Amino acid sequence: MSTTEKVGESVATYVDQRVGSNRFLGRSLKKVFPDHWSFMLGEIALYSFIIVLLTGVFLTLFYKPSMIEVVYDGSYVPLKGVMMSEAYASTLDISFDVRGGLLIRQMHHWAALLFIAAMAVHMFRVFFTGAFRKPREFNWVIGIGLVTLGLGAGFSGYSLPDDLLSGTGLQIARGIVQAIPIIGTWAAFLLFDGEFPGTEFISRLYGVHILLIPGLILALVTVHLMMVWTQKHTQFPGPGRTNDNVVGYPLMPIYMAKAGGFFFIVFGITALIGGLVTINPIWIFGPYTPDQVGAGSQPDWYIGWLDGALRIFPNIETVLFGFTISWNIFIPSVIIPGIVFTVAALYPFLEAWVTGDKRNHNLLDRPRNAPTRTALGVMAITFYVLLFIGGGNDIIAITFDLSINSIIWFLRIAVIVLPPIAFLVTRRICIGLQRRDREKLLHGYESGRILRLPHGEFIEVHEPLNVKDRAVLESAIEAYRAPLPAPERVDANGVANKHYRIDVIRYKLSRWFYADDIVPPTRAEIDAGQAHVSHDAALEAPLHAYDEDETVMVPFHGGVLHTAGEPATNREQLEERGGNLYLHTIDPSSAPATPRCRGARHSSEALLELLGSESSALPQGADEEKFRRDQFVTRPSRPLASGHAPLVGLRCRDGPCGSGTALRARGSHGDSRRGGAGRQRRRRRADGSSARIGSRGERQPRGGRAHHRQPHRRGHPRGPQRPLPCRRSSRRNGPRPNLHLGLHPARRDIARRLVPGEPEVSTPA
Amino acid sequence: MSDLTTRDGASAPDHGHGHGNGDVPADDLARPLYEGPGALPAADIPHRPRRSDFDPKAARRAERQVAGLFLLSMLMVVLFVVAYIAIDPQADIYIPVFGEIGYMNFALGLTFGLGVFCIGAGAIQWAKKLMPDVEVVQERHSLASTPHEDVETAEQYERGKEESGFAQYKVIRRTLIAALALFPIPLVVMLRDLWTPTDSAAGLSPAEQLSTTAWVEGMPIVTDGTYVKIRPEDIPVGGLVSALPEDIEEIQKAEHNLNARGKAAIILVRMEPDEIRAQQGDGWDYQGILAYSKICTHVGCPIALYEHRTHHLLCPCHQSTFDLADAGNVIFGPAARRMPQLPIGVNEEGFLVAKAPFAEPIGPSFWERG
Repeated sequence: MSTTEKVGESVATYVDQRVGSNRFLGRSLKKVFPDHWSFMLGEIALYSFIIVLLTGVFLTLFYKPSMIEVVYDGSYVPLKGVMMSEAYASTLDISFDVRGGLLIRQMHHWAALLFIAAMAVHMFRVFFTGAFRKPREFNWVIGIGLVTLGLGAGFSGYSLPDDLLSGTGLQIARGIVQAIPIIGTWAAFLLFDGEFPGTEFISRLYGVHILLIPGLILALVTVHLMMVWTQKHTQFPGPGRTNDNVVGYPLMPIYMAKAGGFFFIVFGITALIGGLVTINPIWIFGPYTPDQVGAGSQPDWYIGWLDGALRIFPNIETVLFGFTISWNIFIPSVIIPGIVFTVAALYPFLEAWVTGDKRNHNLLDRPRNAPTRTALGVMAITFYVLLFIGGGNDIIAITFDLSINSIIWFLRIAVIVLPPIAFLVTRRICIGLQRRDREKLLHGYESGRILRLPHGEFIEVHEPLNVKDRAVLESAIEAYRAPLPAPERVDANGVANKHYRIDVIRYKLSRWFYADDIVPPTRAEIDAGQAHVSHDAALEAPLHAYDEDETVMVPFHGGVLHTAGEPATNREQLEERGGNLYLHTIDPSSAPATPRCRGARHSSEALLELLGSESSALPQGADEEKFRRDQFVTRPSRPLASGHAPLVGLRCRDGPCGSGTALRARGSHGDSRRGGAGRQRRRRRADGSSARIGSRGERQPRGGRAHHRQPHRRGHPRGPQRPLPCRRSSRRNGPRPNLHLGLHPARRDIARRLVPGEPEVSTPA
Repeated sequence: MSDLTTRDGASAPDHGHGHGNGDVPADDLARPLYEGPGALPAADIPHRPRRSDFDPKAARRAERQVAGLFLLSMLMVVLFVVAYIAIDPQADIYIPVFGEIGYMNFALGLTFGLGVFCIGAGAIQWAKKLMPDVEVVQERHSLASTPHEDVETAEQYERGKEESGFAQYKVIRRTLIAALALFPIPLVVMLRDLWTPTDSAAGLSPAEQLSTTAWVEGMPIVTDGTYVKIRPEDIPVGGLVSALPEDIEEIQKAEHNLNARGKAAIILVRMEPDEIRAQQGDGWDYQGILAYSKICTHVGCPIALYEHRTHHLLCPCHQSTFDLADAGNVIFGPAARRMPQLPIGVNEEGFLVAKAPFAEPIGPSFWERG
C-alpha cells in the first residue's frame, strides 16, 4: 500500500467514524450499471447542465443585470458611442474585452442548447422503452418538470443580453402574458414594473435565471439521480438479464472511468464548439429598442414549437361583455403547452390505469412490443415537428421560394391530420415487426439454403436463434398482456357494480391499447419450433460434416462469439484473470443458466488428431504455432463414422473450388452471405457440374462487408477468423464468415486428405 | 484495491467495518465484508475477449495510448496559457469551413477543448481496453417496505395521533388548518409593489396606460433615429418612414425608460390617394400619406416589412399581414385586429403633425381593452 493510500485510508476512517461513510461506499462502489448507448443520453443532459453551471458562474462575474442606459465605450468599434443598456454593454465586454469571455459565453449557450436537446432525446428513450412504468413513475414526472424548467432557464437566459433579438422575444412573452384572460394585464404590469420594456425586467429575470431556476433544477436532478440509484437502472432484455437482476459493469472502476471520462468528453466537445462555432452574435443585432426588429427573428430551437403554434393559430378573438379574450394567443401559447406538459406528466398513470398493469418493470420494452404507446409517442413527435416547422415558416418560405400563406394553411391542416396518420402507420409497423419476431422465434432464421432430401423434397434450411437474439425476442412473452376483461354490471354475489360506466370506458381503452397485438409464442412452442429447426439442420449435417456435440462458439448468423482456446463467457474470462476481481465467491448455482451457442469446440489438439499426426499435417517450414491457431477456425470435415460420404464445400483464397455435388445440394456458407440462393451466381464448369462462383477474387463484395470476405487475416495473432461482432437482426441472414476448409493454398493437401474421393481442387485460370 | 472486495479475511482492511475502537472480534474479520446478495457473480453470457486481454503487446499499446492522451491534455493546458497571454484579443483568423473568427477565441477553445477532451478520451480508452470487460450480475431487491415495517409505521402514526390529540381536539385542528391556509397571504400581498406607477402615470390603471400614447393633437412627427421633422414631400409614393413624436427624447430622458417609444412608434407610408380604399376615419391621411402604429396587434413586434405595390404590411415575428390601403385590416395570419391609424395633417410650417391621438389602444390585446 502506497503512502497516498495510507493517507486515504486514515481519512476514510476519520470520516467514517463521524458519518458512517464506508458502509455506503462499500455498497456503492460495486453498484452495477447496465451498459447501452442510449443510457448516455441522460448523462449528456446532466453533464451539459454542470457545464452550464460552471460557465454561468464565470459569466456572473462580468455581467451587469441592469437596464440603465450607458454609452458604450468598449473595443467593438461599430457600436462605440451608442446608447445601450448596461446589460448589453457588459455582454459586449464579455464578448470582446474579457479574454476567454466569448468562449465561455458561447460554451454556456451551446451547453444550454445541448442540455435541453439531451433531455428531450432522453425523454424519448424513456418513453419508447417504457422505462417510466412502475416503479419509476415519479422519476418520469420529475423529468417532465426538468424539461419545463429547462425551457424556462433557456428562455430567461436568452433574454438577458438585452440585444435586439432577445428584446423581441421578451416583447412576445409580454404579449402572451397580456393575453391571459382576467389577470393578464395586471400580471404583465407586475412582472415588468409597468409598461414594456420598463427598467426592471432584466434584473428580475436575472434572479430567476441564476438562482431560482438552477436551484430548482439542481434539487430535482438530485432527487432524479437518487431515485435512479435506489431503484437501480433499467436494462434491455438480453441473455442473463431478468426483471430481478442488473447485468452490467460495477461503478468502481469501470463505470466511474467511463462516466467520468464521458463528462470530460462532453465538456471538451462543448469547448471546441464554443471556440469554433459562433452562436448568438449579439453585437450584430445591436441594442434593444422597442420600435425595431430584425427580419427572420427566430427563437432558440426549444421555443420554436411554441412560436410555431403562435404563428399558425387562426386569428380568433372574442369581445364578451366589454372584455377581450385573445384565443389566438391564449390557446397556442398557454393552453396547448399546458396540455402537452400535463398529459406528458400524467402518461405513466394513464397507461397503468388503462392496462391495469401493477407489476414492477425493470426490463425495458422493445418499442414494437407496445405498439400503441410507441404510436402515441410518434404521434406526439409528429405534432411537435409540425409546430417546429411552423416556427421557421418564414425561413422555409424564403429558402424554398414558397408562399408563406400556403405553408401556414398546410400546417393548420397537417397539425390535425398528420399525427393520427403517424399513429396508425407506426402501430401497423410495430405489429408487423411483432409478427416477424414471432416467426423468428418459431422457425429460426431463413438461411437461404435449399436442401434436397433423399426422397426428393426441397426444403429451405432454417437456422436456430442464437442465444442473444432469442433472449431479446423472448422478451415479447413478458411484454405481452391481454386486454382487461369486460366489466360486469352485477358481480357474482348480485351486488351492483357502482363503477360500471368507468369500468366500461377502461375496458374499451384497454382493448384499444392492445388491439391487434400479436400473441407471442409460449416457451414450449418456441422450444418445439427450435427443435424442428435443429432437425432441419441435422438433415444438413452430412454437408456440414462436423459433430454437433463438439461445437465452436458460432452463433448461427455466423459471427464467431468465441474462438477455441479463449474464454467463452464472462465467467471463464474472469476465472482466467485470476478470479476474484469483483466477487467473494462464485456460486454457479446462483447464476442464471443460459444456453450456450451450439458449435464445435475444437482445440488445436483435437483438430490435429483429426487431421492425423501433427508432423504430417504441418507444411514444410510453417510456423507451428501460427499453423495451429489457423486451424481453429477451419471447420473440419470429419470423415463420419456412419459412412456418409463426407461432403464439403471448399473455398480457396484465390478462386472458387470445391465439390460440385455438395455445392449443388446446399450451397456453401460462403455464398449464403450473399443474401439468399436467388442471388447466387453459378457458372457452368468445364466438367459439367455446377459450382458457385465465389465473389472472392473475382468481384468486390457489396456494401461494407468486405472484411467478412477476407479469406485470411494472415499473420493475425489469433488466426484468420477474428470473432465478429454479433450483427443486428436485420443482417442476421446475410453475412457469414467462411468457416470452411481449404482456405490456405498451402494446405490444400490437407483438405484433400480430409475428403477422400473429392475431386481435385481446381483453380480457375 | 482488490482487497476491498475479496473474502480474504487476512488482508481485509478494518476500516471497512467502521469500527475505530480496535476491539474487532476475530470472527468479524473472517466474515465477508458485504454479505449476501451484494456479491457480484459474473454474468454467464457469451463473451468476446478483447485483443488486449490476450495479447500483451496490445495491452501495452493501449497503456501508451492512454498515457499519451493524458500527456496531450497537459500540453494543451500549457498551450492555453500561452495563447491567453500571447494572442491579441482583437485579432481575427481565417479557418476553412468556419470562416473569419476571433483568433483568441479559436485558440482558447481549441486548446481548452482538446485538453479536457483528452482526459475523457484517455479515461474511456483505459476503461475499454485495460479494465475488465466482464459483465457482472447484481440482484434487485423489493423497494416496498415489509409488512412488519408497514405495521410499525402505522402504529407510530396512531401513537402520535393519540398523544397529540389531533383527532380529539376538533377546534384546534380546524383553526390550525385555517391558520396554515392564511399564512401565505402576506407573501402574496407583498408582491403588489412589483409595479409602482411612475409620477407621470400616477393614478392611471394598467388599461388606461396601455390605451394612451405620446401622440396628442398637433404633435409634430419626426423620423426615427435622426429625429428631424418631416414634410409631406419628403416621402415618395411607395415609400415607408419609421417615425416618432417630436418630444420622444425628452420623455425618455424624463422617464428613464423606453416605454413611450414602445407605444408611440409609427410608420408613414405614401400611396396615390385613389389607391386608398378605406381608412379608419375620414380624411385621416394627408395627400395619400397614411400613419399607422408600428406595433403589431398580435403580440407586439414592431412591423416594417412593407410591400408598396400591394400595400401589405407583414410582421416578421408571426407573419400577420395587414392591408394599409384598406384601413389596416388583417388579411392573413394570427393577428385578430387591424393596425390602429393615426390621423395626420400639416401644421402652419408645413411639417407633418398628428391631428389627434390614436382612437384605439395600440399593440397587443388585453383583457380590459374591450
